[in-house]
Amino acid sequence: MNKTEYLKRLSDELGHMPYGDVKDIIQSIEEHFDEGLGEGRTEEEIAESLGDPKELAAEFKDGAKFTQIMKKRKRLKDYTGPDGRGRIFVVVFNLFVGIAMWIVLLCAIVAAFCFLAADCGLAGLIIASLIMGKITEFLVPFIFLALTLICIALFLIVLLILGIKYYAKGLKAYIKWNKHVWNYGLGEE
Amino acid sequence: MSKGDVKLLITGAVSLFLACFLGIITIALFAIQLGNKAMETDWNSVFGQISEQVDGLSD
Repeated sequence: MNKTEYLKRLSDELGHMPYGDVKDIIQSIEEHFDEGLGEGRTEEEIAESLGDPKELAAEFKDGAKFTQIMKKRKRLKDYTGPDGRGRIFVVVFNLFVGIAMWIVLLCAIVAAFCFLAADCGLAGLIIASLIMGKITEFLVPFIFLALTLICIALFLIVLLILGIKYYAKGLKAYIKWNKHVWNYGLGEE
Repeated sequence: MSKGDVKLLITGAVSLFLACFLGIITIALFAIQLGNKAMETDWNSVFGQISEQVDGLSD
């Protein structure tokens, strides 16, 4: 595939992107072709190094920049196999820090849930006693205590919602990072 | 962090502040009322009764 064919196929694949973005992408690819030709490579070789126009277009649609894509291509080209140091790091880090950290965080979420249950139970008991007229002495402090417990419950609910959400997100990202280090080693983007 | 998360965070912060504020008032109210109750109690007779009971046990 020569330069013209490649650019035509690429612009066809980028069809749904804004015109300005397509123009910038095509311009950067043209510059890449010009640089390659200046180094004495053929159009076919350059097109081959860029890969399938459909895949390239998909990467651009995902929001990647041309330099990032080329860096990734180079890394994949130079990649010779799994990095042993990366795998050792993953095992050691998880053994002493990673897994323990996620378990502690999970325990904190469970503890917050238990606190919430106890708090709601106590608040309910005090409110029920106040309504039924069982509390005659220390009436005002008990009303304030019930209000305090309601505020604590609200705080714990917020803490649990955000905690569970970001725990799940964080764990997902952590697993992804572990997979990346396992496969490509440390210090890679 | 989304807009919803920020709202939740603000709700949590406000409720934590209120919980601390109300908690301090609750402790103060309990302390005042318990103090009043302690002042009203005739400790001499209470301790006198206890002393009698202890004496009764030793006899």
